[in-house]
Amino acid sequence: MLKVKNREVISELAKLTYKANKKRNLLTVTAIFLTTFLISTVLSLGLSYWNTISLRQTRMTGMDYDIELSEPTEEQVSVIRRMDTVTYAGLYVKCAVVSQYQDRLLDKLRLFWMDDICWEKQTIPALETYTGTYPQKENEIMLSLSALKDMGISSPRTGIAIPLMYQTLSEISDNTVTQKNFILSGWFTDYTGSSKGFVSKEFYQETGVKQTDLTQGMLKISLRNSLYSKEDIIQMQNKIGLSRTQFIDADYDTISNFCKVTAALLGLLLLIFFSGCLFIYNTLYISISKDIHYYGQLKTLGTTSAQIKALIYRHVIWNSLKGIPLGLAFSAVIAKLIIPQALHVVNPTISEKDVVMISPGVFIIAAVFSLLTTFVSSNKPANMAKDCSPVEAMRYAGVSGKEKIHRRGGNITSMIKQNLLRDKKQFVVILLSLSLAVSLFLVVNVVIRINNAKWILNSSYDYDLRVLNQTMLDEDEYQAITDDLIETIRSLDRVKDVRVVKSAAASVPYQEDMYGEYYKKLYESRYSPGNYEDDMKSYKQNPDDDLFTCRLVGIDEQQFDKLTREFGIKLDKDDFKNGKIALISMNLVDIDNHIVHKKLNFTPRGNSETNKEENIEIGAVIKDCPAYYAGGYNPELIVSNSYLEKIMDNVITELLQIDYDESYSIKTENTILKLIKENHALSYDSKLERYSEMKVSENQVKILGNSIGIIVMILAILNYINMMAASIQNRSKELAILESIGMTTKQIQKMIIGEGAGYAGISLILAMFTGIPSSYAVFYNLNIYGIPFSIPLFSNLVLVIAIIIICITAPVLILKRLYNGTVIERLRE
Amino acid sequence: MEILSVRNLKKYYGTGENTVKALDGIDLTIQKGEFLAIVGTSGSGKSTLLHMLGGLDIPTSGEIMIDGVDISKLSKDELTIFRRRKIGFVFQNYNLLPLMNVYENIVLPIKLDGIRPDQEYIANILRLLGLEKKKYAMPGQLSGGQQQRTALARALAAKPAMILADEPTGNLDSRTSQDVLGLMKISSTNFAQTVVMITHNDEIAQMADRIIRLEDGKILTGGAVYVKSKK
Repeated sequence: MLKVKNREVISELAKLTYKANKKRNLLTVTAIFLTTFLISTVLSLGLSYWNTISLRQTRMTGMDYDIELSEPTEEQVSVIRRMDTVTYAGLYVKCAVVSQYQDRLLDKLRLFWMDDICWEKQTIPALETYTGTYPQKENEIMLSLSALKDMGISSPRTGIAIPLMYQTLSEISDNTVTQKNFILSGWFTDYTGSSKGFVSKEFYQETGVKQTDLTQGMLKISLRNSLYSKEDIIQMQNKIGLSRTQFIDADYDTISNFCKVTAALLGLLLLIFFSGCLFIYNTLYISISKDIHYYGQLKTLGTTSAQIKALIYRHVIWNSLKGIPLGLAFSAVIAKLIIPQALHVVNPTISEKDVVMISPGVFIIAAVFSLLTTFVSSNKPANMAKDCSPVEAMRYAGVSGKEKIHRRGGNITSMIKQNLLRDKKQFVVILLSLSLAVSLFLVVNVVIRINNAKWILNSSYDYDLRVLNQTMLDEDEYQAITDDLIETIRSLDRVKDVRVVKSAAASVPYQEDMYGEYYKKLYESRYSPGNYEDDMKSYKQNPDDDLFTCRLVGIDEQQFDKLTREFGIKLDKDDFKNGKIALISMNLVDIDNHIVHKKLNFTPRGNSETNKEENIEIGAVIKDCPAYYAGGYNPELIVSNSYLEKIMDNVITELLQIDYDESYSIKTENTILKLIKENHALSYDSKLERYSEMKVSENQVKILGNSIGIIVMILAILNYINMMAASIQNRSKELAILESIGMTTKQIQKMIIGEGAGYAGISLILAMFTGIPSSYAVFYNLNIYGIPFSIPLFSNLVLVIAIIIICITAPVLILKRLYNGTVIERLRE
Repeated sequence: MEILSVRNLKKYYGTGENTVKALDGIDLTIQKGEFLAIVGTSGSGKSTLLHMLGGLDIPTSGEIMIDGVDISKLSKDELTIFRRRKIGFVFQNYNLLPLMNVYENIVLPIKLDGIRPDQEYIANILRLLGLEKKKYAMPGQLSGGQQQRTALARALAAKPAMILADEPTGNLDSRTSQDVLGLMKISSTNFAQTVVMITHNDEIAQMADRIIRLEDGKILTGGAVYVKSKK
């Protein structure tokens, strides 16, 4: 057969048809544009979002490393540093504890020395900001902002004198308190919330602490491959040979956690891709179906099926050439100009060019995906046009109508139903597309929620403000938290709950059947206080041995309720209140439950003459003690405040845990802080302050996360509008017929609104069924902070309301926009 | 009694040299119950005139009064309601709704008016038009003739004051054509309905009370008022 040169004719025909279908091409170009925009923007913002939350996670840890080796020897350090698998290994040693600054008692302000690797490669990347330099001279010190706050220094300057009282942590130390005038060489902010300071190598060496001292020295190791297995760590252990007390602290779930996160992110990506795919498919399907009559006419004139397909693909290419670059350009504008500007406003220290990554890879993925989707999606309708016989094509009405339907409808409600189901495939595609977009929004929302600093802090803080009696660090402890103060705080309007924790020291005589097993375990553990036989011998002879002091902790009813709820234990509240049962708490090693229901003998210590030996039944063993100060190596004994006051005089209130009606309420917090500000014997720990420290990166996380959420939401809505526009345009003749036989514009609007409401209602229900389980799955895999699962109600409600409003109003507006001209003009279209 | 009067009706398309005068100063009066046939060559303006009479198209100038109402003064929705209640249309290409079966297509204009269809009357129309067995068939299952009859049944169902039919027998065989015209005549007589019909077929046109011949948008013959005999 001779080849006929008709390429030019087809090309000409394609151009003519393309020009004639401006409105429909606009819809297709919009679909391609939106899909390209969705993918490139969500991927760009998603990558930046991920980097920001990863950085925040590092800042919350305070240092960037993968595993750590306790008490490393010089030899072990050099062996590890030579390992191929190790990038950096920085040395970090705790060498002193500061107890006082001027007249202020300080709590848990620890001083560390670290080598250059640890400072430059592992610590600096984890700091939000730092000013000054790492201490070089013997008397220089660098402090965290929390430490400076505890000292009452709100405007630090380098070079100012910092007079401190401290004790070294040397194993041979005699616990003498030394006074020293340090010079502030710098300060820093991280998100650990802890008070700490860094000192020079010279000072560290003077303290006498060695990196091999128990619990003091740590080698922070950054691995080349952060995904390590237990075998990798065992291999490392074998190469360096660990002593009895040494250990490598590693998270063996790294690989499984990575798999979980990857699975969740892949699922999210698939949702995005599938959503885009459906979007383009639906618009093309409607567009090409609309032209079936025209293709039928061409066939009757002798155009072959292959030529029709070639003609359709030409249109697809032209639409893609418009839609894809436009989508990429808009995405670049959003990701590189608008959002960085917004982030820069929130945090001027962020360089605009650093905040949002625009990787060429993302653009290539988005462009290739959109092009592929466009071609794959046009294949089906193109084949439909290709395979349809000329007569069938001329008579094509978009509905099969091959069976009799025994129906006596003919009213608007039945017309809505018929229109929704007129093309089942299209109905499914529109619903899937819309519900998928809503599901995607639900999932994105949950991801944003997991990474919300407030939620993260809520899971780690069980109070809004904790007020601590600092005098209990001292020999001369006194009632710094008075009953008046407690009552004043309780009476404040916006204070929900004030839990009072009292404490005192107690002596527990050696009781083999109670703690016998526990002592053995303790002395076998890395926390072993010394020699088991010697210590036990001494303890049995002297029950008041300081090493085995027991902290007697008194709690109120609210605290009791909270603990029993938290640990899922059932105890009689009255028995607890009356001192018939107590709880014990120990974190160092596990205590067997066999001691439950046994009775423990103890004697409260103090200056009261009424102190006598008591005994109390153990109701449960828990792993969390509401008290702040620890005692000796005996587990803490938790009793009711009323019982404690009964057996002791002048029990000191150790701390208050305060909950606000509204967490993070600045007003409430300021009111309480005013009450305690002048009292230097009190210190506080505030969830709000911790949140404020994280605020800058939190704003960054929020802007990026919400941008993704808003873009997904806008696209879901635009997607729907585009599909409805295509659907209404496709039915313009039918609507004109209805008007010609007497259906008013209001009735047509009512019908279209009904259809929109139908799509909105069904897709929202579908989205609930798909979105909630998917968001739970993603939540489960990404939830590293143990935040309880909940659905962000407000933003989802906004989406639901927006979708309902838009699904109802958009079709009417589209109708008005597309519905021009006289009835007869529209009938002739 | 006059049901329709048209004064100096014009419909021009385009401007300047490209102006096409589809209707050029039509004056016409039609009496209640009159059966009128419009004939003319292709492009003479027959369909345009019919569309103007039914308010489906907007005239360039002129006045159309139906049953005492100047339809050019009605709003879009008022005109639609007026059309629903007063006019039944039979389109050349049927314009049936593809998603509805025959019955639903027929009763739709009545239901849109919030009225319960007279089932006996509908059944009668279906029987007369030979559509009884096709009551629940979808338009896609019908032949051209059956679709034409369904369109006619739809126009008759609401018992409108006026039926406007564009080539109502164009797709029918001669016997069915006769039946359809007979039905239109009966309907016209029984319900005092006015029928305005476009046709190319002179034989069919002869069945009308009056014939109007159009050419180049002007009435050549038959524009005069016809007063029906009382017999």
